Amino acid sequence: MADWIEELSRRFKDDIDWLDERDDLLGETVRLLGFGSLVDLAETKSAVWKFAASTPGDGLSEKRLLGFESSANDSKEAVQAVLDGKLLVVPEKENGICWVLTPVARMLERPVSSPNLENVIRGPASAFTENVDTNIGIARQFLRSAMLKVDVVRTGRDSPTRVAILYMAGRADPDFVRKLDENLRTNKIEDVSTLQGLIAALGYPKRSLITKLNSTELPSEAACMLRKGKVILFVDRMPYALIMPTLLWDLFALESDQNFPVYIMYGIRAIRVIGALMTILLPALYVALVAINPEALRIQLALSVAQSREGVPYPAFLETLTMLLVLELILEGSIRLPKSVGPTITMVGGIILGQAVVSAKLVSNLLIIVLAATTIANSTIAGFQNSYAIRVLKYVTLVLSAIFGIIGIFAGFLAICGYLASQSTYGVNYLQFPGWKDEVRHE
Amino acid sequence: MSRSVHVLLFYFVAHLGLIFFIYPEDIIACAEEGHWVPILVGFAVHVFFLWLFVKGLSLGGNRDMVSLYLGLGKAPAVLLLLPVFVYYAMVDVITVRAYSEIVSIVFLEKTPLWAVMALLFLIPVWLANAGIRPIFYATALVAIVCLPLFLFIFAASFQSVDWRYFFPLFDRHYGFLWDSSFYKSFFAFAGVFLFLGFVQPYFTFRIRGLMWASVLLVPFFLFSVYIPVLTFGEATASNFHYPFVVTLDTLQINWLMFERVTVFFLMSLLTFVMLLVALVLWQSVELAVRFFPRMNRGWTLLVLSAIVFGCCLRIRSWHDIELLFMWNTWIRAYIMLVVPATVYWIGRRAKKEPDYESIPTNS
Repeated sequence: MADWIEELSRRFKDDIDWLDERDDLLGETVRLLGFGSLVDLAETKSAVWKFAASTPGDGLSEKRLLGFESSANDSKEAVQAVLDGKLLVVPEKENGICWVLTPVARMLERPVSSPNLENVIRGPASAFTENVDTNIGIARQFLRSAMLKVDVVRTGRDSPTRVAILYMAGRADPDFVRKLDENLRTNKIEDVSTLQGLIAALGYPKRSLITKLNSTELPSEAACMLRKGKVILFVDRMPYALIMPTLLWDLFALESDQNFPVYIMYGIRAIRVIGALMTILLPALYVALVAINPEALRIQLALSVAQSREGVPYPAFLETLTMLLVLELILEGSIRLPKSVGPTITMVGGIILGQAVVSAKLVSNLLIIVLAATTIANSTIAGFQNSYAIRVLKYVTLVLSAIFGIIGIFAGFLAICGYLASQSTYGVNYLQFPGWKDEVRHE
Repeated sequence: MSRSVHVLLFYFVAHLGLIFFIYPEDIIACAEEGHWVPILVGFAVHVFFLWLFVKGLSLGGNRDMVSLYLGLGKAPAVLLLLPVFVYYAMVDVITVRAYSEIVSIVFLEKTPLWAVMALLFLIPVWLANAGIRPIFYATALVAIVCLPLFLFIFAASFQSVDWRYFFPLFDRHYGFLWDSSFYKSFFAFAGVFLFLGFVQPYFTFRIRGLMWASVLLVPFFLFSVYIPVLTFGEATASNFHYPFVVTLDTLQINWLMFERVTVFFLMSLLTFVMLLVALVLWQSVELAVRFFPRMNRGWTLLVLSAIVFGCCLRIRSWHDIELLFMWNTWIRAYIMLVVPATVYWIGRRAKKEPDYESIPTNS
């Protein structure tokens, strides 16, 4: 028996779920190595016996057809195989041979179920799971095309994670796919199990506000993206598809919109655009019109605004900032809380915001309306991860409007546009319209 | 829709940003009647040289302007492009200073001028640092939001026009040709079009599309002058500083919750102007870096911005801006006439050369 197999056995000996058994397989004594927590040994044995009984020929080496898919040649390969939930079969007689068997795995996965984060009103309702292979299978079901190409890369230094790259040959930009593949293979980042790590592995700074990876739980959405020439990544243990490149338009358009009549679809999308604009502009507009440029308002309106602020003891900017902070706290709090307690927070928040604060004359009525509208508007944006970016960006216009009034809002809006425009994914600009190719690729 | 839409859009909105402020005042000052004659004469001159310029660029094989000039050798190229560099610096100073003044007059009386200038200048510097593509993409996004706002208010500004003021149709003396204000009005043309000589490796555009875009500008040139004239009459309009802005202030839109729509009109134009300043800064840096490749882009931009901002701070009064305008009349003439002509000449020469090779565009 080779030294490295002994070494492997010593290495994992202390783990309670380590499996090291001698068994008789087709007249030969073999050693079975693996993790009992990942491998269902009894089922595996019975499957192997059943297979062995039905196949002609004798001796282990001739029966490598099913399950005995490959052999490990050194300890690194063997460790990887064991960690992936494979079973190592080492014949005692033959020196240095170590087969890798795909065993019957323990049921550690949830079955394909309906989506948790994204609601489908009209459309297929299955969602991706944590397993890369299952996800690839689901994608193949939704996109039965020979053009769909799948590649799996293992990346990450400490715990190599499987990342699957899916794209449609002929639709996706080959240059883009090449750059993506190169980066994933060459950048050795310690941990790619979080998106921050993955983005670093893709060769991008972590500091960007805009996510480079859009995500969706819905296979139908993912299939549509593939058809549009985008690239999809599946990361092991992440129950969603990561879509690249990201575009601003993704904030406003979902593929499931196309299940509605065309004009309804336009309407829905227009509402999302208005939602994004309102989120960025409304709080800033309130501050600018109340504090700096009240003359821009019609006099009656300006007076009623002033009246609603009567008795409020601090400047409009601080008023808005404090209430926005409370709102952000409520939003964040209601994510953390278990579902059974969630409504409490909503109720308490609603009462505090809606009634108490106003009747205590701490903030004006109008501000409550403005902020409620802003929060509602913010949640119209497609994709929860995208709404975060907009939520943060509204502070840019808010601060500038507090200093410069309406001109600050426009300047802030320009700065936001400039920021969005400076984002790109392997040469695809964030503000590019879907379907438009860039004129000349330079990056 | 053609792919050159970003370039054309930028050309369009940057002009809009320049037209409505100083231009009407100059045109009204240079002629007492028949204003459309100086407007169209100025426009015809612009379009002719614009055509010459882009034709020269396309003959030269779709290269950018700097590499065309560099074909002549480094020393002549530096000499020929130095005025462009100087003009760009002046454009930055004048636009930032003048527009801050407008902002200050119209709705930020209490804010110190340097703060307004800092805002109007820092955002373009930041954009210029991001590069030419972000500027163009940002233009598209800004235009989607601001152009409708602008067009709405522009349409509303016809509210109290009296069409009889359109007459007399002709000015028999053609006195405007001898008036310095007429030549000052070319500021609205000269500041923008040279960017077309820089976009080539990054974006492509079609000459025909560009010509259509410039034709689309004609009504805005005309009405920027005629709306104040038709509203107040020539005699009154000629007394105003920024006649178009004054006209906007008289607007009454009853069903709108805003009293002063001027603010929104100005703001949308101001964002266009900031984009223009950003691109002009980027071009200045590009010029410097192309001639002296060892210079660092970021530092060049920083030093240039510091100088420009310093100049802005040094200008004390509107009178100084007028003086700057007068001084750069000659450089403006150089930019408008000599640069397009030389580019055309170099382009033709390059085409005749045996080793001529056009850069293919994938448009």
